[in-house]
Amino acid sequence: MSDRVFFPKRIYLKVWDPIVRIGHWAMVLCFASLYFPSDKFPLHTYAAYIIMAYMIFRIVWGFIGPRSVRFTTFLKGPSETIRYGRDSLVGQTRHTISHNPLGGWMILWLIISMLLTGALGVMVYSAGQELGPLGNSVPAAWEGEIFLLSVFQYSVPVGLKDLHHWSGNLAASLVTLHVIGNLWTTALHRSQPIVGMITGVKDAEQDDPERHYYREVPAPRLAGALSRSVGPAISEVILIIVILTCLVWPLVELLTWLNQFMPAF
Amino acid sequence: MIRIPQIFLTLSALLSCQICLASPLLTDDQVKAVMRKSNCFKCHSETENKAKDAPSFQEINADVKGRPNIEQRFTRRVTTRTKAEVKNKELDHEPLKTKDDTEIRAVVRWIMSR
Repeated sequence: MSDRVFFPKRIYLKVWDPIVRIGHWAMVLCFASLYFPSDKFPLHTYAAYIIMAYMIFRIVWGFIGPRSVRFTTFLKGPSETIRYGRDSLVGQTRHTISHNPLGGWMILWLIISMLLTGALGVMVYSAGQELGPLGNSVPAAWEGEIFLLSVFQYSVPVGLKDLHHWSGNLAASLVTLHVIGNLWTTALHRSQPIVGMITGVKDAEQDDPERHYYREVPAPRLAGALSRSVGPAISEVILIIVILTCLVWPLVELLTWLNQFMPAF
Repeated sequence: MIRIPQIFLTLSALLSCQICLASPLLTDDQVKAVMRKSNCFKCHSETENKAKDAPSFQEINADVKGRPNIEQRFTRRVTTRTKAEVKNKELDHEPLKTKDDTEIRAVVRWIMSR
């Protein structure tokens, strides 16, 4: 009985379309390429352009894309979001097919923070190096100082560069929270969101009213045996480690090396 | 009839004139474009600028003034992969993204003239 209450019978649905999956993993690679070797130019800039282009596309896709990626599907009101957050800490939350209410808001904030950081970066690129789409239209002095921030009796100059760094660190914190949130969801629902973002297939409760909008498919075989052996949460942690160390890290190293041949524009 | 020594003298004179009247290697804007392509201005500025992590070209130039073989040293610095210390952190100092000798020489002379 308790098993049924906590983990009702699952079905598997095709939830994430290839555009979102490819876009998601491209974002992982681009973010790692611009954040970890942050001194590498123009790699930093080109990775940022790709992120900004995808974020703009993702906003459009959030209105015209399939049901699972639409903002109206996963952006819930404040009361439902707070209830979900409270229940995920102290109670039992309802499993959702698309993003859960907290995850939905995280997607929106990730898009906003990436676009804000990118916009500030484009301005820094123009002010500091007279490069990028804005050319030399941003005053050079803004790179180091736009306004003076008064903190107690101190006055600190704040420039575009500072704003870009702060915004970038906020985006990095949100990315970290996004990963933690996924692991939390895995533990709560014995679901596998990372496998879902690779295969496009996500588990759902059989009585979920939304299930009829999606096509039912067999359970994904990826990491299936691993999940049955060590549990979905550990399996997802292993998957993250494998993706980061065997794919993302070597690719970032390769791009960092290729940076020496990339001219800046 | 023109004799060979005369041709030689004429050609030499023309060549000398060309060298004497030659304009600088590249214009200021062309040099800066080469440097922008290589992201030099990410860390350096032309004159002192607190927003930049590395010393300005003016400061670098003042620092090395009077030392021997400055042009060769600058050329080596901008054409080979070396290390630079920025805010107590060792970073790669990447070479210019050009293999064109004229552009490299123009960049070095531009730095030396700051």
